[in-house]
Amino acid sequence: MTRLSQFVAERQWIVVAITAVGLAYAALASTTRPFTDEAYVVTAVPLVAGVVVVALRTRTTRRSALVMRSNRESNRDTRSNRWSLAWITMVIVIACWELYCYVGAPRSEHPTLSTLIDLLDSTRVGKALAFALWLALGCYLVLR
Amino acid sequence: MSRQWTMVVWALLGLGVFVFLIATKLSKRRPPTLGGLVGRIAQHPLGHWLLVIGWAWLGWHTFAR
Repeated sequence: MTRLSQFVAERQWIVVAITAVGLAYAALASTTRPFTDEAYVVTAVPLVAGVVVVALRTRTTRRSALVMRSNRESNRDTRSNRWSLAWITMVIVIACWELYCYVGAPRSEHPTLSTLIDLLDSTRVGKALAFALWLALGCYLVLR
Repeated sequence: MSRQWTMVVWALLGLGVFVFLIATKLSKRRPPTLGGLVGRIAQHPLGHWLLVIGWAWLGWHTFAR
C-alpha cells in the first residue's frame, strides 16, 4: 500500500468516525429542550468549535488568498454571474415571504420558517435529524 | 390569507429551490450550483464569516433559542 492510498484509507475512517460522533451528538442533543442550560451547552459546543476553526483557518490562509485573488478575478464569467443573481433573487424572495409571515398575525395563520422547523423538532427523531443536518452544514461551511 | 395559503406558498418556494438545485446540477452550460455559489461567497474572508455566523444563528435560534 502506497503512502497516498494509506492516507486516503485513514481519512475514510476519520470521516466515518466523525460522522458517527456527529450522529451520537445529534442524538444527545435531541434529548434537550430549548431554553434549558443543557440545550445552551449542547448547541454552544459545536458553535464555538466552528468559530475557533474558522478563525484559525482565516489566519493561516490570509496570505495565500491575496496571491490567489488576481487569478480568481480573471476567471469570472458573466453567465455564471447571471445564475448567481438568480440564486440571490430566490434567497431574497424567501426572506421577503419570511418577513411577511413574521409581521403577520396570528402566528397560526402565518407560520414562519421557525414554526415549520418546530414541527420537525417536535419529535426526538426529527430533532436528532435536524441537529445532524445542522452539524453537517457547519462542517461544510467551516471547512470551505 | 389563511394558514393553508401560507403553507402553499412555502411549498412552492421549497419546490422552486429544489427545481433550481436540479436545473443547475443537470444543465450542460454549467451554471453555479448552490454549493458553487456558497464556495464563491466563502472565498472572501468576510463572506466566509457571514456564512458561519448565519449557521451559528440558525443553530442557536432552532435548538437553544
